[in-house]
Amino acid sequence: MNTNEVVTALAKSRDMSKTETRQLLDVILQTFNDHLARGQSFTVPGLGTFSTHTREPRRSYNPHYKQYIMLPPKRVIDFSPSKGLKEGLKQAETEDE
Amino acid sequence: MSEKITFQELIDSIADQTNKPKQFTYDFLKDFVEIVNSGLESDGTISIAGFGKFKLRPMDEREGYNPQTGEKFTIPAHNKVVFKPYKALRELVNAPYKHLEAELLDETTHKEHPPVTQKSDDSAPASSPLSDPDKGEQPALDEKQGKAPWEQPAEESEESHNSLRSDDDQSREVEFSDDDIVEFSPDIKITNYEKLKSSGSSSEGGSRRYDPDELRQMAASYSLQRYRQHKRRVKRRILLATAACFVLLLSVGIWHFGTSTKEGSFDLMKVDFFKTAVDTHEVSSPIPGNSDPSAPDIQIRGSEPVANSNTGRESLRPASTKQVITKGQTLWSLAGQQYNNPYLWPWIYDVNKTSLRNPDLILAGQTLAIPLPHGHNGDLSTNDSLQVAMGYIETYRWYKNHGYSKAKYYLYAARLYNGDIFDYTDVIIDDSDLTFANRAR
Repeated sequence: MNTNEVVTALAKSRDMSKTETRQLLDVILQTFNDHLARGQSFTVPGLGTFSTHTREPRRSYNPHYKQYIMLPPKRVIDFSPSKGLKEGLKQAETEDE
Repeated sequence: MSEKITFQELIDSIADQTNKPKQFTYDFLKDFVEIVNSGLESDGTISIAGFGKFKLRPMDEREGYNPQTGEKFTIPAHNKVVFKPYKALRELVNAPYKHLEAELLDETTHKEHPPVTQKSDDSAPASSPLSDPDKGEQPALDEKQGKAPWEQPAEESEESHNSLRSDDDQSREVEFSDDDIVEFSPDIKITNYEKLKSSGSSSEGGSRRYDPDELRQMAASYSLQRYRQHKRRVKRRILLATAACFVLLLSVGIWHFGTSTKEGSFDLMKVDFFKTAVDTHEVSSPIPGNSDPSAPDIQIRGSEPVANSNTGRESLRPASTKQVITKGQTLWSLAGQQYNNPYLWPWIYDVNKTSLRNPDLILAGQTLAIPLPHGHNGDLSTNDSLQVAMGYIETYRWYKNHGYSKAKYYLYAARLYNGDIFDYTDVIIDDSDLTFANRAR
């Protein structure tokens, strides 16, 4: 499912025009991005928690060149799905079986 | 580290930007989540432009246990939702560390982590002989680590490490193949350990069975020998360095002795020179018997006194060395070598201008006289700087005669080395060049 399909579905359920939906969604995602860039974590109910953490610098090995390299620290995004999302999927799984 | 934002705050900030009621934003988000949820169920992936991709990752059934009760149970196979942010978002989040790049570690750094080697080394003699694959692996492990524990006390340069390795590669060869092949053939192990054994002179050779103690001893003596070898190498290197230092000191001493004796006669010389300089300049009476064979044809009117004074001081001054030019050398590089100041090159040119027709051209195989400075610690004395100034004047003249526009800079430099230089020389100086040069302090 790509963005277009999501927007189409959203526009249908919200009874809005697609352009409007798209604009609104963009603003929302932009807000998400801004908060993550600032290192703030937030929870979207039903979806999950977005947060960031800093990955410590670490030693690594390139087996191809047989070289040891030092990886710099990095800030990455964590996503932990909310319980609802997980459970819904579990149920879907069991229903399948 | 990350500060939390409540959902309410999130809604507020979105509603602010969209100018829509909060309730509307809330409902919109809720619908969005629902669609994502249903999309995941139907498709397995949801990609949202400008954000990231939600994906289902199938997880196999696995064993888990309740940490509170310690009770084991099986976690059923399920799908896990993973989120992979797109590159733009990843870069945005990583902005604070954007400038950092992975850096290559050289051998020395990973030598700092010998615990693995240590462990394998310890465990090897303790375990049972030959049949144990661990034992065959021991040297290979060392190889991978690139550093054996017994090399620790020596200097950590990679060079020494390599030379050490190449030295006893007879015994190492086997280990190399060990490392490359992965499976172990018993033969290799045997040769390996026989070598170990033969190299350990202290261990007795008669017994067929290797008990752990003996093996430990062998390993120890083996490592000891290697350590000794390395130590010998390092010693030799230190000896060489000391010898080099000694030679250097000796040459410096000789040089110092030479200059100090010269300095003794310097005062007299200086007076003499000035006398000749003034004499030749004011009266322009050449020193008797001074037929300057060097006086070049290109010299113009009035330059003779300068040449005379030059030869006069050259005869007085023994302080110059001869040097044969080799390929790639320039006056600039010669001056840099000799005086640590390449800008003094016109001095060399001036002294050798009989043999040099062009200050920009010296030929390999030529022998040049390199004047030596008379001041303390190789500094220029007043006399020297006058000569350097003369050199610059000569260079100026040559460049001027050959139509180089850069000539005036040499005039400028000449004045830097001696403020009164224009009184001593009668080289014809262009007015505009003179005004340019007179700006020098």
